[in-house]
Amino acid sequence: MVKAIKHMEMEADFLDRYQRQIQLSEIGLQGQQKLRSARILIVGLGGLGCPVSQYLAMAGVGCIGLVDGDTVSLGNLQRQTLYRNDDVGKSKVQIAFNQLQSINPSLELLVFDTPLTPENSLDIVVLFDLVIDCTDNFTARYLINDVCAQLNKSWVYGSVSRFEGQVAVFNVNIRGDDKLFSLNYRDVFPEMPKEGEVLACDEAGVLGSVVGVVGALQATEALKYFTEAGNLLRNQLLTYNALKQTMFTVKLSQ
Amino acid sequence: MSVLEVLVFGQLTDSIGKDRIHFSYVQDTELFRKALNESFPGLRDKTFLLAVNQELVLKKKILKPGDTLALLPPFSGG
Repeated sequence: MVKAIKHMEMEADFLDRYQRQIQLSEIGLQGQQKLRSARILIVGLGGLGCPVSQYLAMAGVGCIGLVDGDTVSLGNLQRQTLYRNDDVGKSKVQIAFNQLQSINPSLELLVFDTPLTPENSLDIVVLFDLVIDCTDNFTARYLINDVCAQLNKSWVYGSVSRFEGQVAVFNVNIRGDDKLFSLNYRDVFPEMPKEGEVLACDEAGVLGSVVGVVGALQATEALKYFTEAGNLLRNQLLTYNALKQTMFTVKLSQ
Repeated sequence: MSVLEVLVFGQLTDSIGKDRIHFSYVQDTELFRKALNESFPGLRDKTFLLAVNQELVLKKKILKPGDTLALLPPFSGG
């Protein structure tokens, strides 16, 4: 009896907490329940990973994995929304774990206090349904691509440069055919750029709010992926430009 | 209209100096890449996608005057 009442209270909280999402006809109760059983891995807890993890935790994603081996530095605080001044020097995944738990205690969080490496990537990625690339380098991005291709997982790409950002969803299973997938990152960029060819944010600079926009776009694609709302950025590459406030989408042919 | 409109993204603007240029018409994408590299030698070693009228072009494609081309490099930051 006590157990049944507790369960009813939890369901009432569930409906109350997610009421604004559930009332969206494209999501509804069914979509919200799909989010509750979703398992999403976020690789990188920097400028992109912070808003992505916050929006997904708030949206009611059931299980979120966090991968990052870094500690918080003073220069991170300009754009990395999970961290506070007192967090400098502390483990990013540990701070993120505490913050996300306090946002949504029903969330299951799996924390990996390590960078994603060729040695650990298969064991980590296999635990999740979808991967979100919030990394800041090509080595990690190609690793995510290759592991996801090997394990037939979809992933959401996001990256920033100064006032611009790119977003796409790669390796999406098409029409329920277990052998047919949308394009992946290597189909579009077969070779990794040479070292130093593309400047990273610490060399080129980036506006904090632009990273937030791109992270919000990635989180939105992840929520669409599970709820099947609208059209995914599948076989498409979106570029956001904050200076012009434009979005430019290119169709990537299969 | 015997020109091509070229939209430039990301750090490629450092090599070209602008985010939008007009380029003299050439017949196909291979000739375009060659002419582009001649006009902007800084692009020679750069990785970027070429899109024509918002569609990615991986093989040689015939161009029409007035086409809009986009140069899209991969971004790195996160």
